[in-house]
Amino acid sequence: MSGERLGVIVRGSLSRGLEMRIDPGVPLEELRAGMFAVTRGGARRYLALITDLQLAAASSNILDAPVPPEGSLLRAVLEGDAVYSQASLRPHLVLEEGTAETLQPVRGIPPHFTEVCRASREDVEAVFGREGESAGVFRIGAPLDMDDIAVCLDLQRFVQRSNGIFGKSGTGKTFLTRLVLAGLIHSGLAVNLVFDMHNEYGQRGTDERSETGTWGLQRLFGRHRVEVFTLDPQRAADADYQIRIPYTFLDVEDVLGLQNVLQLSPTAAETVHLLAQRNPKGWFGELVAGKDSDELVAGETGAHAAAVAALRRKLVRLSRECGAFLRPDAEFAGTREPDSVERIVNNLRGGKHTIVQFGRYDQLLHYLLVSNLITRRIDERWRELAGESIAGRPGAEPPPRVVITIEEAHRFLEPGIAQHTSFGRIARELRKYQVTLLIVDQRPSRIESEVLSQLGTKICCLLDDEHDVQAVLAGTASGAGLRGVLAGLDTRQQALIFGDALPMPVAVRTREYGTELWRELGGGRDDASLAEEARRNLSRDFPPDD
Amino acid sequence: MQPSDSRGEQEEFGEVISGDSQSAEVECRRLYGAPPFGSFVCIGAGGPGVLGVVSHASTAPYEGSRIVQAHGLAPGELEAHKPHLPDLLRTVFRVRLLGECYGDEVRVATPSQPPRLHSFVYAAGAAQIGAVTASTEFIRPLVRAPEADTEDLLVAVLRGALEAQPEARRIALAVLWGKYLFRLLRDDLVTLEGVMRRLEPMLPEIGPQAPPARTARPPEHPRFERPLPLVGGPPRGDDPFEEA
Repeated sequence: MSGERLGVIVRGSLSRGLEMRIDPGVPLEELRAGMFAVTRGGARRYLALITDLQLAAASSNILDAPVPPEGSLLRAVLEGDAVYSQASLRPHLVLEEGTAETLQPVRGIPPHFTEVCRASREDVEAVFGREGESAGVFRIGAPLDMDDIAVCLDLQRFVQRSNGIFGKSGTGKTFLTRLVLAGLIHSGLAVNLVFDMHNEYGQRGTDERSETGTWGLQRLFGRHRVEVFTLDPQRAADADYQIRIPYTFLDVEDVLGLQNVLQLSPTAAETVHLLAQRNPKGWFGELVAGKDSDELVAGETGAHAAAVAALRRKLVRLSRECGAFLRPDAEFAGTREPDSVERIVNNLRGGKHTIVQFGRYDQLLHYLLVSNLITRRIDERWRELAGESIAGRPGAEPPPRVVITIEEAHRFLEPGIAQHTSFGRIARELRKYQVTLLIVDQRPSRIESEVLSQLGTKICCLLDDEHDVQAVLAGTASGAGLRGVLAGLDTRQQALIFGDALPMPVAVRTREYGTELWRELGGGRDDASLAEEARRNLSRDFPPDD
Repeated sequence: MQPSDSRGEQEEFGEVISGDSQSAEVECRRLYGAPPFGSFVCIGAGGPGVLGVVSHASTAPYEGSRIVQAHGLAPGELEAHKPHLPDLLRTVFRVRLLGECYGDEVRVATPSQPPRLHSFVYAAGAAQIGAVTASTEFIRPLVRAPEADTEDLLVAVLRGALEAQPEARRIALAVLWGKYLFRLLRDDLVTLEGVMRRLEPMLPEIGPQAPPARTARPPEHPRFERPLPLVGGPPRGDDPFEEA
């Protein structure tokens, strides 16, 4: 069953895709890059994406001749034959007609003059599945101009590898991230740790089109499933926990991750290593406190006194700017205050989704420091847990799958920085240890290409910069065709999605983040099981001894 | 040869004096009695005939060696002073063959046999013209006729063809013929443009091409994100997105 006829195949190749001559009656302006088309009539049905649209002429003389006036006989004669339109199609999947419908990758092309039709609801659903059909299928939106058809992400495959959400500023990355996170939380396939630089995901988020904002994930799922941590003491009332980090938690790697922000020279990096060799735990506190002179430290570590002095100045600045949450060890001595980083790690081990908000401390320095520090801890712990599980230690279970969401990801994953941060390592290899990344960024071209190549699924909103487009599509089989689709996206609520979590690339109008989603996530139901669940949740949120 | 019964008392234009598979030369019954340039004619009657269009006409002395001189006489005076002239001159016209006919049935193709010499030539009937011009094939021999200016021949023939069609079909047919003509003429856009421009006055106003029926679009896309209620929040279990 297919939709209305669009045209016929006139040229094509397996490597470059197909060319369809569009029928004269088809309104060209209603066709868009990113729409689905399906061939009809042959032994196989090819499901393709329209990747480009062109105006063509049978002879260049026509284009040089005076334009026939609107409504003239000559114009009517020329339109559709002498001048016509054509579309480039990229077939992605093929169905054998008359057999049990199993989608196969494309290894051939349809013959000349094969009819091409708009894909019908059945065609699209055969590819993307229906929400609720199987566990871990989450509706992310609808194909462009097919608003009543669901495009579903296979979250089971999505969480297997690191993924990326890209788009220039103001194209809805945060909104999409929130939507994907809602799906992930609802599916229970992974535990999420979100580094929420701009306070968008916890209780409330901003909506650029409204003054009032929108609800965050904790409001949707409740405190028993989503916990919010904050760095900002003034926002502690809105969060569940305030993060305080003792100096001893700082590792060499954490400081080196700030190399660009603190403008640390290679000598400074070397000096950090020397200091850490001398006092592995307390080097930062010691240096910042300034008890020993630069010369003394230099003498004991073998570093240059001037280098120590320069490093001290920069780290003092770091301790001052992060003073609200990065505190001297003495303040923690004898207190029963729990280690907030450990609490986050335990949350994740227990399956509780965690959002780290930065409050007023949303400068890059704060963001890089805290994200790196927490992620490093998770990196270490998960390697250890997974190692125990793989080694078959009695009672050892594989750790839960964790998805770490980072915004401004290129700051962590730039060439030259990526190898110093846990994020680079996770993107490359931690999939084996059940930790993956959800990278949110507006400049994908600045992310190390090796990291980009490891991403399983990419969700791309509009990108203007040629380098960014190139970076996102690099290594994609139909990259050239998708370029046109990407360029044709609206600035809001549209995205091109391709990769592991979908059988083929698709441009979607993303679904609404609102009531409908909330209901699908279980909101508003009043059956007995939900009432019971609510009671359980209540007892979790407010334990009897509280 | 007498006209067939179906032609009644219709007068013949002339008689075939030479012919081949592509064209026939016809000598007119009367001096200056050639049918109009581009008009449809039928060679033969009462059985299989050949259908064609007048693509050329000329008047000259019977004897090729005779030289025609100017007499300097006004019209009317010439006939009075030189009454023998019609016996010395003749009008001949060339018919570009389009196909065979049997009564009103027409097959557009090169005739299986050239027209017989001395066959009489008549005006084609409206039904025959309608049948031969219902598709596009009749245009092809016209483009190749060496004896006539292509544009003028096409305009003359297509005008006659349009007149034989009901008015409601004329635009559709003109567009159909035009598209076929484009493929035949290919790079000769000047001729195509000339033909179309000259045919246009015969047609009802074409007007701008009506946009094809558009598929139904959703009235408005849903809001990107719903705003929060202004202050505070509803109790748990209520829709947090419901506007206050």
